Amino acid sequence: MEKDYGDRLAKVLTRIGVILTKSGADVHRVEDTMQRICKAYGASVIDAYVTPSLLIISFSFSDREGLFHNIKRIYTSSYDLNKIDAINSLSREVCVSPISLDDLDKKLDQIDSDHGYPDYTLVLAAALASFSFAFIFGGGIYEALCALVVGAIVMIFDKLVSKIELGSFLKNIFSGALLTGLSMIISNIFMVDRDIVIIASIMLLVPGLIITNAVRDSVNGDLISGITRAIEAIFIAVAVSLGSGVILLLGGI
Amino acid sequence: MFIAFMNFLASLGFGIIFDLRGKKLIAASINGTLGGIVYNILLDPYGSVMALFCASVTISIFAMVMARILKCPTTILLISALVPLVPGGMMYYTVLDFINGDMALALNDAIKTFTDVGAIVIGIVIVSGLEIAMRKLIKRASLRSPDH
Repeated sequence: MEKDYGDRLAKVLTRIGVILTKSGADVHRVEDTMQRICKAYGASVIDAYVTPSLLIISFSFSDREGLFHNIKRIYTSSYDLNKIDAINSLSREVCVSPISLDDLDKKLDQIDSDHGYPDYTLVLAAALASFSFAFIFGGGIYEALCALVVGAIVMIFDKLVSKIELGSFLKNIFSGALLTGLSMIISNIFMVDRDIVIIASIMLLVPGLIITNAVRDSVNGDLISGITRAIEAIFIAVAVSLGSGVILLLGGI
Repeated sequence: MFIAFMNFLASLGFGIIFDLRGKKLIAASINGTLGGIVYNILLDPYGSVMALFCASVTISIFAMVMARILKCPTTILLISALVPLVPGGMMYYTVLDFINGDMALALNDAIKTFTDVGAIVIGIVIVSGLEIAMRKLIKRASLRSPDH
């Protein structure tokens, strides 16, 4: 066993934790994955503590001296369920037959550099989602077509804004405002039900993922993460409502 | 039937936005369809809270079962199916009533938004709680086995 084995293991483990947490995994899964992999690489006493913004791991080996830790602060998150899945299968593989730390690091590079679907596919997906939401909320084909356009534009705006790091609160205010303004203009031109167009496209901004994670964290007993995420969800909902409310006021309802 | 298909498309869209691939994307979309069907069947006789609760329980159970089959985390099958149930419409009407100056109606809608979210949440809580209990049982069983 080489000399800096423990330190390198600690680094790789925090890297796995950071990718999982950023992609939107529940805290229990992150802690569990880190502990399992740590155990598979020979560590004995393992403690992992994860919140959506901080990640701590500490472990030691029974056959050698030293206590190893690593702490990582997490700032931004970009939800990507495919990465969670990829790391999950990687962890299954590694726990059965551990590969060298260099190989593990390379595999993590591979997972981390995968940016998922290209932007135009995301825009199409957003358009498709808001198109079908218009029908779900009782609209007709004309409302659905208007919602399709608005949904696509909201997604394009989201992708443009994510490059300049506006922060989640401001971004959601602007998205809500843009969506409401566009829906009002479009529904006036084509004489369709404004409310349905707005609701169908507002569903794109609703924090469903965060609510789900908040609940699952709370049920698992990770109350700090649960509360953090619940507050985040409320903040997003408030921001979106604020943005659309201001435009509704300006537009004279 | 048509609405169920639209639920499928909505979940599919969200699945792509959250970067699901292949079999998992299809499983999550079918999960969303199931939730939509349950919701629409129960909405008229029992009201939105009961319908959302049952839909969320159905989605959680299906996600749990499919996660075992596809060997992937439960959450990734759960999220894009649950998003279409979140009461975004009620949230919008709350704002609209607020802007209109109708405080009584706004409060009414706000409470309805919270109870709707609460119904979904309780559905997830019950099934996730069962899942955790099962996981602990399995862990205990595997610890007891001699080859571990």
